Amino acid sequence: MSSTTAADTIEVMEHDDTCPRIGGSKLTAEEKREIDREFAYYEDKGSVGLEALRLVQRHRGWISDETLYAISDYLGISPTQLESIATCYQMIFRQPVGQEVLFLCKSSSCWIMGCERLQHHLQQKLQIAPGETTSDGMFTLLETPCLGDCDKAPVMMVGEEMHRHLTEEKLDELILEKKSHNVDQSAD
Amino acid sequence: MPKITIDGKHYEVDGEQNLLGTCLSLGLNLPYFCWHPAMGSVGACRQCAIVEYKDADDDDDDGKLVMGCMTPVKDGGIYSIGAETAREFRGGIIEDLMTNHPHDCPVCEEGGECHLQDMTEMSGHTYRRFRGLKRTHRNQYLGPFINHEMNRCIACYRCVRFYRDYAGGDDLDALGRNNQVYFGRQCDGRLESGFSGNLVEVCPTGVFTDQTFSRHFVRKWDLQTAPSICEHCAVGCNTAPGARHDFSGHGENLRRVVNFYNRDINGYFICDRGRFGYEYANSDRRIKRVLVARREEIIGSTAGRGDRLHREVEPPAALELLAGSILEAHRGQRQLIGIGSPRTSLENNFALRQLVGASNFYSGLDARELGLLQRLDRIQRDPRIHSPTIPEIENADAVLVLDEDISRTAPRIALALRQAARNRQKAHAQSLKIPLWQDASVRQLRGEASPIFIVGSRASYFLGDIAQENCLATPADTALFADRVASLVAGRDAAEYPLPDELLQLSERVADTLKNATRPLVISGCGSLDQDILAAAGKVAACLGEATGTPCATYLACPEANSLGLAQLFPEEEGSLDHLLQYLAQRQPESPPVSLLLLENDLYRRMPAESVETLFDSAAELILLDTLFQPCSRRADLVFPAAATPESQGSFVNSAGAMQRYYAVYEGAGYIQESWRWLVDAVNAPACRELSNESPAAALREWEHSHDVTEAIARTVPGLTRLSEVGPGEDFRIEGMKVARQSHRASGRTANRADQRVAERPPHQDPDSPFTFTMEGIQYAGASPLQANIWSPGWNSNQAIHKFQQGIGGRREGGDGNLVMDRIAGEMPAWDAPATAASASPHQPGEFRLVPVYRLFGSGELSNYSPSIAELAGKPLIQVSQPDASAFNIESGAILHLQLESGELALEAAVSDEMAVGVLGIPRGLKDAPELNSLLPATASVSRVEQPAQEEEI
Amino acid sequence: MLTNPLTKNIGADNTAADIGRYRENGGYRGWRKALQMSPADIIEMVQEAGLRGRGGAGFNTGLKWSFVPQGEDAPAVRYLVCNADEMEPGTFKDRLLMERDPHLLLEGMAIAAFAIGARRAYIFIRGEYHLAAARLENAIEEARREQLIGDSIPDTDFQLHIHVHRSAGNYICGEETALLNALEGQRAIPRTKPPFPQVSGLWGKPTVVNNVETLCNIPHLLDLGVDWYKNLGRADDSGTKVFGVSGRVRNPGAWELPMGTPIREIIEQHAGGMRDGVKLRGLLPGGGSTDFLGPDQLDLPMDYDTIGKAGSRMGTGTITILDDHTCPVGLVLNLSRFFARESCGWCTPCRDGLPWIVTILERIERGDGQPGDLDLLREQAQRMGPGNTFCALAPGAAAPIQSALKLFEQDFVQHLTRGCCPYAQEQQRVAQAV
Ligand SMILES: Cc1cc2nc3c(=O)[nH]c(=O)nc-3n(C[C@H](O)[C@H](O)[C@H](O)COP(=O)(O)O)c2cc1C
Ligand code: SF4
Ligand code: FES
Repeated sequence: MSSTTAADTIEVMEHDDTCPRIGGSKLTAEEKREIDREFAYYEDKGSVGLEALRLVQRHRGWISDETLYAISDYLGISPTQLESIATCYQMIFRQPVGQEVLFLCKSSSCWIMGCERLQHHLQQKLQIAPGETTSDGMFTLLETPCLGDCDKAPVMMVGEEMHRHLTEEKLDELILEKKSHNVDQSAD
Repeated sequence: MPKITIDGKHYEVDGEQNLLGTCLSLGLNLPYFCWHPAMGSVGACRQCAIVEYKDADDDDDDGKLVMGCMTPVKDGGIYSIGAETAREFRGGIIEDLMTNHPHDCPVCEEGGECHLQDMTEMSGHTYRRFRGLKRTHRNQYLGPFINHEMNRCIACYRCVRFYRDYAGGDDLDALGRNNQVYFGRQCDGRLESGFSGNLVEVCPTGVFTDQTFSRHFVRKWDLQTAPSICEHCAVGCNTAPGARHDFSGHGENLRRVVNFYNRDINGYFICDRGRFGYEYANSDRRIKRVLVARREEIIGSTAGRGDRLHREVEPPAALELLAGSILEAHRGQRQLIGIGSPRTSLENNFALRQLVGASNFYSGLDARELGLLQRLDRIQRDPRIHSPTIPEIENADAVLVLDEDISRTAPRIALALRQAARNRQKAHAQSLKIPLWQDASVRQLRGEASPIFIVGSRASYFLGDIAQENCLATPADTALFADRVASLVAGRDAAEYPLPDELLQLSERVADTLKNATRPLVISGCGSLDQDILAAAGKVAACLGEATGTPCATYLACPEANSLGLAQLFPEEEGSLDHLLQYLAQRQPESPPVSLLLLENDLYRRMPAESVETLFDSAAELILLDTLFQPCSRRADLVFPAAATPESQGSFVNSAGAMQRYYAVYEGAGYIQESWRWLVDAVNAPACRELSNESPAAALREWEHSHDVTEAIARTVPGLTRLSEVGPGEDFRIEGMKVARQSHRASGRTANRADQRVAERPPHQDPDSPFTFTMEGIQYAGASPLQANIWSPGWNSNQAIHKFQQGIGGRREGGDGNLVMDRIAGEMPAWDAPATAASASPHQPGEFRLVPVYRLFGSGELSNYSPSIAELAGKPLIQVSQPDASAFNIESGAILHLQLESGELALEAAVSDEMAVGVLGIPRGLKDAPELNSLLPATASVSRVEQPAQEEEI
Repeated sequence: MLTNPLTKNIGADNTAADIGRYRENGGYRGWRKALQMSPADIIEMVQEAGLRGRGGAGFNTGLKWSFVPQGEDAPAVRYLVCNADEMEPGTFKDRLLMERDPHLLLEGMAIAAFAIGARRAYIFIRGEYHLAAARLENAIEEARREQLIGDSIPDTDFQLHIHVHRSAGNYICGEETALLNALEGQRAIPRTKPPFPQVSGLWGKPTVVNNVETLCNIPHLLDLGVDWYKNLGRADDSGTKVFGVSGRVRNPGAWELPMGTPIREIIEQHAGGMRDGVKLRGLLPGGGSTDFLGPDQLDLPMDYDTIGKAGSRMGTGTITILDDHTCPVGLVLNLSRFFARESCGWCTPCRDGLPWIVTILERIERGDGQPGDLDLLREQAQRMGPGNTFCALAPGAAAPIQSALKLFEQDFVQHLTRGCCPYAQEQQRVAQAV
């Protein structure tokens, strides 16, 4: 296959990409459709960076380099600029995460109400530290700033759902339930 | 003029600057990091804290801590730099910054000229209380120019502000956040911007350092420096190269080039070709000895017709040979013919002219190129136009660029144009009463870019994002378009222009915009190799000048460092290589034999090889003076080693007509000396004793110092009468002393040459300049034009420049050392509109116009011998537009066979969305394809396309 | 007389009022009234009512709106942005309002947008608020269908498009100028002022940023008038406010109460007082970036100026309680970690000072504290004081530190002298009992 720009005219001030702009993966039609919908709300395509990252991440779980290049190409902003935005936000994952991401609230009220203990419990149970993923790829544990549910502390968000008034027992149930749920799904 | 009080002292200041800039220009020391004189304030580092008091009477007013760089100067304002709260705060900031900064100054290349070191000292912070772990970053590979050591980062954001905001690069940015913030690329890879080298100077610590310098690093204080002029294009940026004795036995060695502030020509920044091209001076291809051809013919497969074998001789022997020829010429038994060069000084060219006589002196340029220069010169002499300085270019409020790929042919100008694009935004800021130094505030206003129109055969990537319109057109159409713009501006009838609709409409918009602008700017040059475009550009400018009543700013780019200076030595329509060939061809066979003296010029880059051969064949003798071995040296009977720009003193004239002087930074190795000096030595050689004083060549006997030649030029050449005033002569003294090239800390004085002799040698004398080659002399003549080692107590980095400016961003206190030529003014001729017929007939299917394509790295003759630049030069490719490629089924990688009038050409094709339809881009200036230079201009048809071998699918 | 305009539609179950129910309860009446008024009159009315921003700074909302350039020469495009980035530790009021009564916010936004002449509005919502975002999007669709917003609103040529922008976890986005950068797809770094957003904000256009709760105050204010609104407050400030209490109280939660309700009343009557076995040692009146108040300050009315004069800030009005079994050093460490992690990385004292503070607090909490550490902390906190840093994040981060050093100095000293955290076992025990 031939590329459209002269890859060999190495020259500065020319579009000579020392980071590939299009990687192996392209955006799917659906991903593109979702991003396109956002264009209407922003003054230029370049403003949609975070939206695009977030939308594509919903499909792919995380943003790989290839995904980043594909988005950057689609939006017409450089990979470095997109990376600059991606790395501003803790919910954009530039590393693979498990099927379930556990966002354990670590802020003041939950801390007063014992989130450290819960964290300890989770770490023991899942054998992972914050930022890590279980070896079976099921769970990723993340420490999260205040989830805005302080009157129901301690709390944890799993994926998109909130779990409140947590105790060790509730955590055990939750993990069990998620495990069997995910196993069910993979059996389908 | 606001009156202010700082620490009890009263000052009257101009109020244009913020408080920090005001303090600095008053000579007061106030530390800072994120502020930059050319980039303004963003208030990120919080280092420049100062106390502001409400009023003087209030004794127990504790005052308020403000950031100097974010605070406008108030009339009657009372401030304190020395107040305890401010000093404590500033010390605390340094302490904060140091929590992550490694304590690696001894192994850091910034050490000794480090702004962070200076500011740490200045803030008085000495003891570190932080005991935690420092964070560690992984560094990136950023290409052959720049090293990356992220752990030294203090997050002042200057790098991205320069690289992204100022220079428009999109491959370096701040990544991450909090104290993990990282300045780099998305992945390892070469920095794509052609101005990346400025990061070295912009970064206040050792994060970005010069990789070429690393390979032969010495501390700043060990570098020997002198003011120089970049020889890699015709912008004429001022530089401060640094050299140092080299222990491998090569004598002095050029170690690096940094920017040398000149308000009008380059300000704080230079391009990467200028910064990293210097290594040609250290190349193993340097000619260091005198060579003479052996008499036997070479038998061998690679040797061409007339090739010679050489052996070294001692200079007197070779000079005797040259002197013999000079004497013979004087007696009429021989004819001397001199060929000059646009890449060497006026002094060298003039000396050769003087030696051979003006009628025997040729420019070393072909008729087309010399013609372009002479036309350009003609336009510049028109009183309705004027050549702008960098600040004037930055101030333009509407710009038209006509087929000049300015970011590759005069990069620094393109960087200035990027700033011009912000003028609407700046005007908006002023209407909101936001001072222009509030950089972040001004930038966040967004809004439209000031109108920049680019029309030509190649789109500009560097300016593409800020250009209002970037229209692709064939050279013929561009010329016609420009002519129509001129007619519209002048209010003349503009109905009959056979242009495509798009260009017709564009010409109206452009004419309208330019006419309504208060500071319009026209840019063009020799880059297109098209006389018509140049003429039309001149017309547009002249019409604008007439319409507005003020001379129109017009920047016309010349190809080489001294192109315009060289052109001054020839009357119009004379002095080209074509003339020379003609002349030689019609010489009688019985006329005396010809000795060709070739001055620092590779003719194979200027003419087809056959013509060069013909030229050499018709001469009995070829004498070459040059810096590097080049194809012509194979044919030379005598070769003299010529000094490179940083080894010599001389004068260049840049594209804007500014005359500038450069001084030797160090002495060339071996027998290297300036070309003019070889000629003088020959005239002074014993064999020339009989040369009568009437002979013009005898004038050379009078020349002892470089300045003698300069003065002779000033006396002789119209337009250059003020050349000798450009810089002081060799007898200039400060307090009775010469200026030292070395700093007072320079080390190794007795050790440097100890491998040759243990006793300390007497210092080399410099007869040419007011400099010494040692540390003896005035150390810090910053207030004269001679100081290139910018240093002031407490300010070891290049930031010290503000100590030597007339206000922030003003001229250098000692003068910038550039003077504009005083050419005889005269209106340009009323050149006819370009032949309408040519463009009226749309180009035949299958017929293409060949146009030159320039590369920042690859088109510069000398810089191609710098390894770092050679690494990026790339191979020759023909650029084809997308539509033409589809029409002819051309893919990138295919071999394109072209039928030209002069023969057949086969070259790999590259499909590019930057090319106009109907043209093919031919690379110009590449080291390994000199034959392509003389192809243009030409038309060609595609005779065959050889598709690339298909890669196998795995 | 209506006394709970913000929460009157919020029932016990976790559902949101749909547009039908919302309108039955008088919803969008304020909006209809507004459309009959001139924008200038609305602005004056809001200013007159003394509504102060509920995002934390307490700036008069009508006054803020009035800075938007008006008249012929003013830029035609303006924007309204609702700041729903609620990430302040201990704050949980905007979530409640958005999840449970999304139309109230939309109505408030419609009126605000009309008043400043913005035809496009954004709800900048933090990425973790999935439910709120979904309900808002649903409500926008409902309102559009009923032509309350959108391209064609009957009887007016005003148009309004509201878009929900989901962020992705970055506290600094709550700072209004960083928020604007984030919305524009740039790095979330605060901007230099001037220009103020009202003059040059989103994409360089005049922009007003208001907090969710602020905007929720607007509909009834328009409907029921200035006098009614002013009378809602018990002390100097007008209106009601969603106050909340979290920590070891019997009944943590959020309640809409008059401005100026005394802290004691909120804690004792509404939150049910402290749990058995624990005593109140201090409190953060409005989130993690406010100064601690002590037990002797419980009778202060929750009022912007009163709390300000007492040395703290009203902030978000959601109170975090520190009890006597919880280590104050630990709490301050927890908050400092949050702020260090959320520092945007722009200015030095915040970016490099906070991580340093964290290392010091960590060693104190571990029992490795050193003499001089407390002075070092004080010095650091002072360096992050208002005006010394680029934005208000760092002064906010310094607030709990410096106030804890005053209020709980003994605890810090004990950590140093004992070489361990005196609360470690205690904390364990209480936690188990809960
Ligand atoms: C670090 C920081 C975080 C903030 N976070 C929020 C926030 O999450 N929500 C909010 O409404 N205001 C927040 N603010 C205040 C906003 O900057 C702004 O003042 C507010 O949105 C204005 O709305 P209001 O006038 O309606 O209060 C924050 C301020 C700072 C300095
Ligand atoms: S190459 Fe040209 S623009 Fe670059 S530094 Fe040299 S003179 Fe300046
Ligand atoms: S120089 Fe003033 S804040 Fe950086």
